[in-house]
Amino acid sequence: MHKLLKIVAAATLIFATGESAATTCSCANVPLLGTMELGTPGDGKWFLASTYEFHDASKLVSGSSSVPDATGRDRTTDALVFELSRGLSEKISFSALLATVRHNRTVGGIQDEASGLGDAIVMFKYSPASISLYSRNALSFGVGARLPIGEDSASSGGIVLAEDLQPSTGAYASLLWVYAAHALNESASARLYANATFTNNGQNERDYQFGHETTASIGASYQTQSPWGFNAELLYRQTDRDERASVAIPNTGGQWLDFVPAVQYHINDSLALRASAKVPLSRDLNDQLQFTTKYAVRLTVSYIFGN
Amino acid sequence: MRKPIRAAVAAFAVLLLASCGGSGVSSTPDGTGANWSIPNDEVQDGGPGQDGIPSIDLPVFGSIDDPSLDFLREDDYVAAVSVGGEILAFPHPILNYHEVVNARVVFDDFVFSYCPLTGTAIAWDVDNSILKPEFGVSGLLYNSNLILYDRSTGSHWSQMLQKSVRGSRVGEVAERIQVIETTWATWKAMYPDSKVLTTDTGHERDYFAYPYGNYRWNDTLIFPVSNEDNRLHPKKRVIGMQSGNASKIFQLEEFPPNVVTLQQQFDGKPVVIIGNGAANISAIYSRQLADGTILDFQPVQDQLPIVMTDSEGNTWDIFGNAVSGPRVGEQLAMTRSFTALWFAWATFFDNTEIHFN
Repeated sequence: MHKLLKIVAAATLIFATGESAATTCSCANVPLLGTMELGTPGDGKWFLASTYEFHDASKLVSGSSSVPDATGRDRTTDALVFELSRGLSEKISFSALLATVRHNRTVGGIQDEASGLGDAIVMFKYSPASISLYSRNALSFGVGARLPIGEDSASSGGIVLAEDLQPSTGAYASLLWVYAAHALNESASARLYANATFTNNGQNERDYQFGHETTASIGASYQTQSPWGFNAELLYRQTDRDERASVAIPNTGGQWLDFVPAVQYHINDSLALRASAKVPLSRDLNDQLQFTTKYAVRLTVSYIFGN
Repeated sequence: MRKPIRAAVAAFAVLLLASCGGSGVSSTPDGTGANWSIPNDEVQDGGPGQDGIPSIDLPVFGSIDDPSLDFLREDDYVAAVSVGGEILAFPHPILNYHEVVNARVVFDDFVFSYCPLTGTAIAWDVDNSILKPEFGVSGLLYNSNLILYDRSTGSHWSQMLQKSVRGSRVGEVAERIQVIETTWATWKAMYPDSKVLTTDTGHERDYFAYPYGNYRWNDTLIFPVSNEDNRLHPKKRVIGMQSGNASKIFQLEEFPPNVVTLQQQFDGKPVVIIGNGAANISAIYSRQLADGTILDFQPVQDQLPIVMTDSEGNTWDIFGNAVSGPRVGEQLAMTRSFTALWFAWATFFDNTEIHFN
């Protein structure tokens, strides 16, 4: 029994990083809520993670069809997201995330680049059920806010850059988050999980509002006897059209379905590395011509410690 | 435990270095870095970036029955010019995706531009002495209107102001070419032998699809403007004329369903406003010829593109050319006039007088 307890605990710690990154980027190609840890660290424990994401949004799509782009456009985002989570009790935890972001837009040799501090997230999570020796199910809810603490007025040549090039959205948002998992075996090394988020975006000082965003994902994960673990996930994302002064902007918003494979390596009980990719499967961009995700890759290092 | 902590710290540091190095903005210089002659806080980044909306640099023109134009609807608009003896039409649905066409007829270079947000089609003659007389889409907007840039100097040009507003050519005024706009149906009937810009643009786009949702018809704007005038629906199509501090517009749909010629004094000068509501066509010319003669015009019905005759017995077409009579071959002087959506005209030219029938 003691051995099985250790296995379940170890698997849970591993999945604390293994099932993360279940949702996609939020506004302006900046991953934030999507990088947040899905698990909860447990009473008295600290969870630290740093995620680097490279997002290539140079894919030109008309509605749901790819369109060749002869402009040679390069639209990329690098982001580094730091997360700190603390288990306040067995069922309640607190998470804070902070991002630094670099946007690049290069067309025809002309480059615009903006970098700096992005938005931050604070969230309280409540977990009425966790996977343990006595339960194969986990359930967590979260309520939080996104705080526009970063650079949202980056300019080039005296002209404020487009909203999607700003490191920060410049607007507050309220966040809802829910996560559920089911262990398929006694050791909980194989799991199915689901995650959903909702982001209710506010307006920034330029009266610009990114579209409200809903994400939902389902995935399966497997932790081998070795330090290696694997995830496969389907991620659905829907965003409303962005608005300026409450007027919808035509070539924004849509629906996306991505495949997100991931692999993680557990260096020891506390330290883990994880790599994942986002592979677009389909999208429906409101019948409009938009640049959107070509691919994204993500690398996370996480560390859990405490009592 | 110390080793893992050190490893974690090292990994964080590596990731930090690999990512964002701090707050900052950089941009490849364009427009020579000179200041704007217009309020730069009213210039907006439209999002696509410079050349993100690709200009057409090797336009291909076909006949009106070119198969690539089958997608055009009868009520789609086209804008047209008469250059070097050729009459060339540019369908709005193609222009929606490119905004700028660098064209040449024989050795006469010109740039044709269209801003889908303000509904303005404007053509400029291009100085052939400049090595690379091409224009592109800057990706910037002034009062919701297209800002072009020229590829020889990087200077920026306001389409509706028709002058350079930033860069080494700031203050230079573009040399205008008369543009006529009407529907595809009217155009085909008027100029069946004209050449039309085809979809062989070098870019793959769904030209049948309007890329701005219901923008053309709703009463909202995507980008803010500095002056709003609510006397008319913001998207109403108007033809306006401007001279000095004077500005006046005519609502295209208010013209009667036959050709009318309104002879008026505008800013102290005699002008004639030609309009036909059924054909959805209009133009404004000076009535005063180079020799000082001031002509009196009467409308001509059912003979488009011929629209009027005068007291000397000349007949004139919609491009202002005398096509018969003693002055055949002469051309009426252009006015500073063009078609636009009302909100755009009103924000660029305040205190505009609205003509009511």
